[in-house]
Amino acid sequence: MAVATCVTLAACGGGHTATKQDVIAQGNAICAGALRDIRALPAPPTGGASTAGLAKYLQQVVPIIHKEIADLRALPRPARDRALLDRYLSAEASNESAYRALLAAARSGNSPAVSATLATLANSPAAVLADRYGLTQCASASGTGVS
Amino acid sequence: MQCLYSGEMRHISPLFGRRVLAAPLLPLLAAAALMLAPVPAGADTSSTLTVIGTSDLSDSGLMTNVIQPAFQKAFPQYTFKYIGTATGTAISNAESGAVGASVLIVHAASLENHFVANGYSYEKYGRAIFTNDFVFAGPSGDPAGVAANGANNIAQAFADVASAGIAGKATFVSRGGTPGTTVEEHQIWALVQSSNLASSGLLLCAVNATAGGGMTPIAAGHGVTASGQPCPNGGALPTATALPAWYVATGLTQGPNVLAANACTGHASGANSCYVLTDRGTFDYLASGTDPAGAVPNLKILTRGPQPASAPGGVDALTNYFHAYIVNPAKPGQAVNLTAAQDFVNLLTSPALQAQLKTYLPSADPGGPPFVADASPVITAKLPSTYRAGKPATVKGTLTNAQPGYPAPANARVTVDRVVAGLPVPVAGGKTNAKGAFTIRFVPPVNGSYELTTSQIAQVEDANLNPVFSDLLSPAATTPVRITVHSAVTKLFAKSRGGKALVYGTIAPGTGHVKGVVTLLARAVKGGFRKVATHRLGSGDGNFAVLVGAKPGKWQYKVTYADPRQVVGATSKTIKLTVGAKPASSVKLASARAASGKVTVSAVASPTAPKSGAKVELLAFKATTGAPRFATIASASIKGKTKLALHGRLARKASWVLELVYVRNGQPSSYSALRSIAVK
Repeated sequence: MAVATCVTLAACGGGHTATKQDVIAQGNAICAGALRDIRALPAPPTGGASTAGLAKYLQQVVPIIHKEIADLRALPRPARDRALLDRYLSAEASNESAYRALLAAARSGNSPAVSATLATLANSPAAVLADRYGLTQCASASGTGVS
Repeated sequence: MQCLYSGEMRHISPLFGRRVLAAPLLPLLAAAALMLAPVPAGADTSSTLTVIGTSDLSDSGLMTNVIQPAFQKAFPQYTFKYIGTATGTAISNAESGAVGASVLIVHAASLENHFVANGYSYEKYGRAIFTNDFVFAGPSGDPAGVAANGANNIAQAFADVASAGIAGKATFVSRGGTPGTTVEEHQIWALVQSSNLASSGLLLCAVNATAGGGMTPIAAGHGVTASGQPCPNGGALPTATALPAWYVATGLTQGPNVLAANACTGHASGANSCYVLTDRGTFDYLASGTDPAGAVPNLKILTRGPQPASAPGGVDALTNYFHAYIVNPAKPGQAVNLTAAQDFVNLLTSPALQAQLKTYLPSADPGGPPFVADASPVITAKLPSTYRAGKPATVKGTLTNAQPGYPAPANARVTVDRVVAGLPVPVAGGKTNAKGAFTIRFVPPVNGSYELTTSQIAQVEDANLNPVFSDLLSPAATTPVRITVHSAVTKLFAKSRGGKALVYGTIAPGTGHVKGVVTLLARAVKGGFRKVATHRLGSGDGNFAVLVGAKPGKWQYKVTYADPRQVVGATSKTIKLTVGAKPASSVKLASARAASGKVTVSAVASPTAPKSGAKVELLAFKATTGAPRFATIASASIKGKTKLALHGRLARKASWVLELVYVRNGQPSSYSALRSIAVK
């Protein structure tokens, strides 16, 4: 994957060296946008119960995830907590592979592989790492209720 | 008002503006000019985002203090500009491309519907973003008596100001033109007329649909002889000279117009006699003392919503609905930064920004913070935190339009998602009825986070307008709930197979197994249970069957089910079985293969049967779903031979368990071992 990492925000349109808070703001927006795009997709009529329905759904989801992770990887990586950010992005890259495997399994009707891949994803450390870094929007699928 | 906002309209620069051109190029360039629509000088590039819209957002400070900082923080790659103006002007400029805007934010449904109908919205409709409320402000002295008579009745308040104005005691300060606030004002004047609240000296004429409809005051002698007649020039807005003396149209944006009412100079009614309709965001910002544009010490809110249902216009007559549109880049003359525009409207409708609205201007105003989130509908339902398998869970709820007064989303799909690494994976779904109510039956397959969601909903909000006014409700989601799934052994049977015990049954949930194992425990009538067999379930197996050797006699069996981390394990009830003696005959399932729903099994039976009537039957047990039972799918005579093939048909895309039975008249039957097979 080609990655264009901004060293400073100037390279990304701003004018100062990126701080951790900058990365958090931009990362959260990327994750929130991706989640919105996924939620905006029409749900499969059969729910996710059938692998065919799941495959149709994932076919639309995977490109959104790919863009999300590419955008996250293109963010600046300031020195503060850089190792943590690297670990998070690495976990997200693994997740992307898992989502692709999930799509392949669903397409071929391989229910055991679907269940196993979902279990693998459920145990991904990405959410914990995102939360630890401050990327709260990347850590969980928050609700939209704002009352 | 604020230097960040450019109120001026930029003009379209002429294409190919240089004077010195080589003559031979002129025809080519002229042709090109005909083919290409002009691009405005201030058109958005890939690094800029221009948003044009209502001055409510700039003059309330919401843009400066909340939206713009959030956007620039999240998307520093764009240079952002907001042009605050009147809604009608903003729409005209967005349509013409004159200022190069990529996004439009406005608040007049009766103007927005034309923008959409004419194809200027990139998305099917505009997105609901938030509401605030219109308020009617006037001087503390309140010479028109609005506070006493029309504190919750805006039509009555207008009628009272008109009466006081005609008497020379009050002035109505309108913005004039077609801002969203004036469009709203015209709707209210129409309510004054339809409710027979107009005093004898008040003359109201009907405004055409292009200007948003409704009615407006007009002076006598300007072509209107009775209230309700169209305004002159086909319902166009009256010119300044045609307005009654007590009614002024300032042509100002929201904040300056309120400041003009606060100053209230140059009117025959005198100082502290001016009334103004405005949005509460702008009023609260001016009243807060933090607005650099000024303050409004002479004004207070006299009329506000919600109204009683019996008041003209009903409960929500003063609700101020805002919508955001991405300008259609396919229209001539547009230079839309589509990516930035999508980023911006996504941010506007994001849960984070929507939640931030309630933190803005949390003043002492009894109405609370003026801007109220409404981008997504509200899902009211409760998912269970514990699910005991056996029968589906039922979740009942309602989907409510967060925009007050607008209808509930009907026939909208609501989905139960399992949230896996942040990804919503749909599990089940249902649809709302006309009132937004829904019922979904679902089986959570494993422990995990679950949520209820709706996708983006295209919604007709006002069918009385022509064209009908519709909008987009952003996806909604409940806060994910952790559901602990307690599995169950819902059915358990045992049969003697002559020296063996066949134990079979059903596990719930019947899908999503990762390391699902059924353990068979047995004991004689006395003594403790001990493990006699284990059976690994396929991921989609709801049924299981286990065959174990057993001495003839009485036995008790039970099974446990476990799938660590996926579900909480289960133990079945205990069942009793008397195992018979091992038969003299035997049958072996030598091989089995399946293709295209056809299964072929080779059987070896012993001893051979000299008489007719002896047969071998092929039994099949569906492991995937359905009632757990062994059914005969093929049968063949075994007279005079020991080997034979049986052919049967099985449903595809399922796992099956096969068993052979050797049936001899007057003799105990014998059974083969079990054989699992997947039929694709």
